[in-house]
Amino acid sequence: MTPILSISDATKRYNTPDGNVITALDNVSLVVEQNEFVTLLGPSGCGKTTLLRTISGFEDLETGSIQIDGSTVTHLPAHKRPVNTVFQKYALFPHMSISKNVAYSLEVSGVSKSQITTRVGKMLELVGLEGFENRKVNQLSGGQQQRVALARSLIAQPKILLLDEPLSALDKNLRHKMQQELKTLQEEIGIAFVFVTHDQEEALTMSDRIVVLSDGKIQQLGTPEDIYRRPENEFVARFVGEGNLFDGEVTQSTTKGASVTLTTGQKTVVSQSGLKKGDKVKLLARPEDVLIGKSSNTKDITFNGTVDHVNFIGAEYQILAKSKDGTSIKATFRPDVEQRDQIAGVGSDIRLYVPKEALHVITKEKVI
Amino acid sequence: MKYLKFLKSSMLSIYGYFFFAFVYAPIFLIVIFSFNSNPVNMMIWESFTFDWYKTIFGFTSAATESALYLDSTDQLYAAVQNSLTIALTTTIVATVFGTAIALAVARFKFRLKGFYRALMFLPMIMPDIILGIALLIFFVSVGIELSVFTIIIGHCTFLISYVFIVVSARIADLDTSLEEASADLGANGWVTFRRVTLPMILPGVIGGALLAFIISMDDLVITYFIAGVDSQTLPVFIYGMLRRGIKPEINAIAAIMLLFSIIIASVGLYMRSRKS
Amino acid sequence: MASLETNERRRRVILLGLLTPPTIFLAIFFLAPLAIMVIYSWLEPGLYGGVIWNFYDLNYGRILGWADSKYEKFDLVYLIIFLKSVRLALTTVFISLIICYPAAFWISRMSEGKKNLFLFLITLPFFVSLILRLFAWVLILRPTGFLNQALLGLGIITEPLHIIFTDVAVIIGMTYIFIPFMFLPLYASIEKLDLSLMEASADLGATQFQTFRRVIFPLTLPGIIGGSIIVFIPALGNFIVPSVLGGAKVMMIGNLIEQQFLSARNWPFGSALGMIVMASVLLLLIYYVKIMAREDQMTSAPAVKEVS
Repeated sequence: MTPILSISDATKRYNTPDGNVITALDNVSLVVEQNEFVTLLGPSGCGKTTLLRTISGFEDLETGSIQIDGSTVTHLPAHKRPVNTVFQKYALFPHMSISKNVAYSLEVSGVSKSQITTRVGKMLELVGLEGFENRKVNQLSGGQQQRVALARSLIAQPKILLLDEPLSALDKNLRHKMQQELKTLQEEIGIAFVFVTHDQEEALTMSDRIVVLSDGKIQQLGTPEDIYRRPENEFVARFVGEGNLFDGEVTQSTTKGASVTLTTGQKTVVSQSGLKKGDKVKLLARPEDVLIGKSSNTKDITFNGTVDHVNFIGAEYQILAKSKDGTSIKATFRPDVEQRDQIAGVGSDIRLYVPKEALHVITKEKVI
Repeated sequence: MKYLKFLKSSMLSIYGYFFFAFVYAPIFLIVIFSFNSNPVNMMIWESFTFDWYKTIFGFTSAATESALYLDSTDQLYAAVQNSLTIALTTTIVATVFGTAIALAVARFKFRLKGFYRALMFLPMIMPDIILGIALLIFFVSVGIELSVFTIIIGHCTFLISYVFIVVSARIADLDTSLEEASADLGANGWVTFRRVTLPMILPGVIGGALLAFIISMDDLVITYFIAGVDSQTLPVFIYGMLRRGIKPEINAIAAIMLLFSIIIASVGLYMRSRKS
Repeated sequence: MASLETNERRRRVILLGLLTPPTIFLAIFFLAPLAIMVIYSWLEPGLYGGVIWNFYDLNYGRILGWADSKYEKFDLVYLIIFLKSVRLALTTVFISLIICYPAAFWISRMSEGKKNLFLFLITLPFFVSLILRLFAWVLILRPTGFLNQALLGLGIITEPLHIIFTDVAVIIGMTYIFIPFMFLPLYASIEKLDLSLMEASADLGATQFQTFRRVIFPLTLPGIIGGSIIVFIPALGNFIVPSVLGGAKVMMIGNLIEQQFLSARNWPFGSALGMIVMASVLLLLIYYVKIMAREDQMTSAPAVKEVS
């Protein structure tokens, strides 16, 4: 099956007013399969919105090419591309009614009136807004405007739906609800979604695959589990989720794994292959993988120190502990009913360890 | 303490009403005394009359027969007609040109943008008299005879700027993502302009046009320099009347003009407040 | 398939279509006349209102003091008239500022609906013909006018005041017609004032006067300067107000220019006078832009800094 979207070697640079050049996209290549939900994730200014806008046709690429469903659209103007966008602040036409907004793409492409009426009706039903046809845009809540924007961009049956941080304007509860609805909607209508966000939690929840971008380059491309559990570089490890990074050096390498000595002198083993003796590496341990107590395995990383900070965030506790040599470690716990009263207080001694199986080796800082 | 505060705020209110009295009293005086029958001193109330209105509409009455003040109503009508012709033509040209430049500056990238901004700003900061004498020198040295036509050209040169500024303010409020959304939904450039851009900036365009119309109707300084003998406008005509000595008909003309400009201004300002 | 070039070219064509007609129009009827006026001011005046195409700096020399040839004499009177115009314009600026500032404060504290009504009422006179508004003041200020009738009737004066055809009448007239120009920029900056800043200032122990001087005044300064410039420019070059309310007694630079064009018919000299007015306006604006650039830096810091 041909991929629905394929971008190769896309490059885009901007001139800033003060004479500098910003590389918004630097040789980006990306393939999105049919029916896939792909999220572009990154901090602001990483190039994710630029990438989305080159797909929709609002920005021209300097070099590289874009194919949608097998045909090249690289220099096609936006109105000739078979994709539609849900804008960050929805961009609903304030001078038109809801049904006129939804009908817009059909009207400008000359679809018959009777067909428009039935399709608009169906579309509003799909997003749960039947009966809102004659309302004005400013009479709707944020969530309702969001649905109108969705209906408007889906009615022409685009091959890909592009979404530019569409949930950022909603409050937290509504955002969670819309995340679920969007995911369900995507599965129901069966087209590919390319979704831009800077919210990692949103990306992890909704996506089939995530593209992590920084400085106009793809830092990693993978499933949410890949990105969270097996970040390919330090940037991804730090940007997605919280983590502890331990510096170390490879002392021995076999086909099955490697031995690593940390700067604190502790020795551990990792299952990663392909490392060379003398490599400087970082070992990632997510806070939920840090356990309380004494380890029974000498190859686990152990940590003795005092509790520096305790954050209570409902379901779990976050603990920041410091050892005598100044290194610190972050851990999260979900204590069960009996353990609740035994959470260590600030200043008390604590003994922590990371099972060696939970360690992930990172060799690079970032794709540059 | 509270009493003092109340006193202070009520003093401010009293001042405020005095302020409005100062602004509106002269205007009301004109209207009231346009019904005064005293033909010698317009500010000494004699009795109520419509005579001055009758005079300017060409009817003679007892009072005006004894003293024909207005040189000729024909001149007045010619001035009104000139003013309307000039204002209507100017409004159309200035609105089209001003809107075109505003669109170009707001929606396109080009090197001379700064130049056009400065060009549109220039008439705003230039005393009217400078433009008036510059145009006079130009028309005479090029050999164009002063007429209604030269006045139209003169008005357009600065009213393009007024339209530009009003329309630009409106375009600045218009989110580019609306136009992008239109293109994204399959509309080409022209359809996007007709269905999204134009309806969205229309209040600004209408506002700019009304402003241009009113200023053109009212302009005295520039018109004064470039009006030919046969192309007097209403303000130039009134200015001439004032210089030759004040006659009671002016009050009636003034009252009618007041009504006229207040209606136009009210419509314009109402439309602007409704849209925003 | 459309290529990048044709997309770009289409936009160029549209841009040219938008800009070409107004550009040609303004080049011919706006920029060319201004350029010709500049040239005229450096040409020798001919007999009966014409020009002789010689470079001639004595138009300026007559005004600024280096003319002593047999044709042109330096006469201090032109500078005096110019300075008098500056003085009248500045007085107008000052009085309209004093009148508008409290009024703008008053309106800024109203409820939303009332505010819009009063702003509408303030803008309305701007649309009433300028010549009519001046005419009204002729009727009011004349010896037999409304003001004198009223004062005589009330017994406050026994003889009519001679206000019309004096500087005072000109200042009253200019103040009256430029009030909306002063009011709107002032109002814009007063309306933005956060009331909590005044409370904060009072809370920190400042008296009302100190609060005004250290908080309100600096924060509304942009409006004060903006309004002052918008009033000063048309007041400086005005010739309608002095000719209607000042008669032959009050002469401003605008009247002098008008005379050169319509009665003395010395166009090069009139152009030179116009250039002097234009130059002073430009100098003022350059100064304004510099102040505003500094002001921007100042107000970008937290406003509370002013209180401490």
